[in-house]
Amino acid sequence: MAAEAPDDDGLARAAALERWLLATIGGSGPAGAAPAELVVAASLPPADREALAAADGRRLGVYRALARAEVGATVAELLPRTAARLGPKLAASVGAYLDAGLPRSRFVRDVPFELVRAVGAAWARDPDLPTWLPELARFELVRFRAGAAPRDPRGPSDLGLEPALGVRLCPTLCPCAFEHAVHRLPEDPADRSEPDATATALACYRDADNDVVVLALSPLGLALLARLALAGEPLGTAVAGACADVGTPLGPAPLDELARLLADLAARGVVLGAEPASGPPLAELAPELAPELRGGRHGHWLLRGAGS
Amino acid sequence: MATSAEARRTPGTGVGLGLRWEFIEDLVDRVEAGRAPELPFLEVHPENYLGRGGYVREALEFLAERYPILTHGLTLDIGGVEPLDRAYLRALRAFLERVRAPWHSDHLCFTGSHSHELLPVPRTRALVAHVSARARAVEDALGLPLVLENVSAYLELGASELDEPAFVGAVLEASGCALLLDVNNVWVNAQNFGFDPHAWLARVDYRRVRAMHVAGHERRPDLGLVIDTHGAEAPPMVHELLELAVARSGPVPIVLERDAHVPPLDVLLAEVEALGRAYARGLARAGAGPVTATAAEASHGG
Repeated sequence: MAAEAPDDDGLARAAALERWLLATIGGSGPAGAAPAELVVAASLPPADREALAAADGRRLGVYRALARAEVGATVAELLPRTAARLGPKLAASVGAYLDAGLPRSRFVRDVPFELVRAVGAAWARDPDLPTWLPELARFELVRFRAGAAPRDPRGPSDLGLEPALGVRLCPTLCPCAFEHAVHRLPEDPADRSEPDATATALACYRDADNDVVVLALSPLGLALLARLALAGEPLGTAVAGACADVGTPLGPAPLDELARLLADLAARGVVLGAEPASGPPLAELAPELAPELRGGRHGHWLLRGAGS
Repeated sequence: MATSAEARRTPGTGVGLGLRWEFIEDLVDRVEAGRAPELPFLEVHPENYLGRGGYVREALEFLAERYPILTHGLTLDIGGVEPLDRAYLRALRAFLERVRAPWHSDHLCFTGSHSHELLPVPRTRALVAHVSARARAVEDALGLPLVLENVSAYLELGASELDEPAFVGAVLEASGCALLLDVNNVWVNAQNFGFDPHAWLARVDYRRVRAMHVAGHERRPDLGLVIDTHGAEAPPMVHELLELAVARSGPVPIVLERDAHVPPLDVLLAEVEALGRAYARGLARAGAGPVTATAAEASHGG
């Protein structure tokens, strides 16, 4: 067959069929309309509608089932402890997520981020689930992200830290905060320990051996890293803002604490020197997280939880 | 085994392995210890590495020094009606250059944005022209030949104008693309749509076959379907189809795919060996005149 120009009517027909099949997978609404009902609703030519109507009903829904299984398996792989706590409710969560629409990312590894953001608040309201489950999910996501994020190809900066300059941070760094010490829960998905109800501030990053490291932070340290890593503020602005965030007057004690934190992070290869201008926010370095980072520091999903 | 940098662009023929994270560390350890398995190439899904760092990315870079790398995409959406994603194609091109891929393959399907499923396209003449135009645009964007794979399917999407072999052949002819012939997918579709897989294979233009895929599948009585899970060892009938196809194609790269219930590397390497025997039988038949299914093979035909 010789190459021909695409035919508009034929393409419109294909588009209608493809829209129908995609709708059976995601975005069919809260009730999850059955594929056969969607055939009726779709604007399909009669021949295509008849062909689909003649198909075994199980075939009409098979891609819906396969997609749900794929998303569920991905969540279980990336968030094993969250998935274990959800148990049979994982399938319902996947269904709710996909009923609202198809995944936005082409990378399947991003799907658990989208799912937790979409349904984490519902988990928090579910009396049958631990109230801290969305926090555990966020912690598992942050840890996965630290392990998988690309490094800054530029490497360390030649510039020393200056108040007027931004700070170049290792892009694997992600500060995060929780109301429970979910980072101390055992790794075994079958374990049913409860985390302490303790306000917890953490920084996750990946070290030179590709191991993910979790550091405990003070509230002031968290505030500083949030401003540097998530908002890309200049160091001086970030320090003043961090002190204001935690209600501490700017003075020798908080400055000393923050200087020691930055020195420790530099020794760990997390602080990579100064940026000539404000450092690029994490959203620019980690586009897979951009939706989560949108809204700036105060609305930051990783910091404030799925309900914010 | 190819060793020079330029030669690594061209994979050896014979049976290689789809690289998966479940055994990547084991494979790296063996290479570091000087016990690298003799494989003609590894195949990877670029989507698993694009925009990603960490151990698996570094492991791939390391293994790419030892093995030629073939790339097999999951999200090109060549049969989709949405515009091609130029940012993805740019990132993909950079990845392909880095691993020195000789061509890039993806599926003759649509995925939408983003179903994460390989969905069947309507088999119409309009889609032949549409896919062909997009394939040429993709080749321009990647600077490499695009190879298209026949996919497994569970539903015929609308009223088809062409049967599957005719549709695949028409796309290849119109686009100039080569075929990644997945013999397991031929078997799966034969079961799901009630045709003879040998008749399907007899209609392939083997001059266009650049490589082949082999995998296992799962019979699902509850669905009345065979599902292409890549979650089991390739069964004997898939070995038979491989032998028959290789008898017609001659030497090509054969990829063993395993994506679920991934066993230890030694188990996969044993399966590679077994497939290698089917491959060798196929090559032996290649020089023996016209190839047709034997009576025993035809009896497994579906």
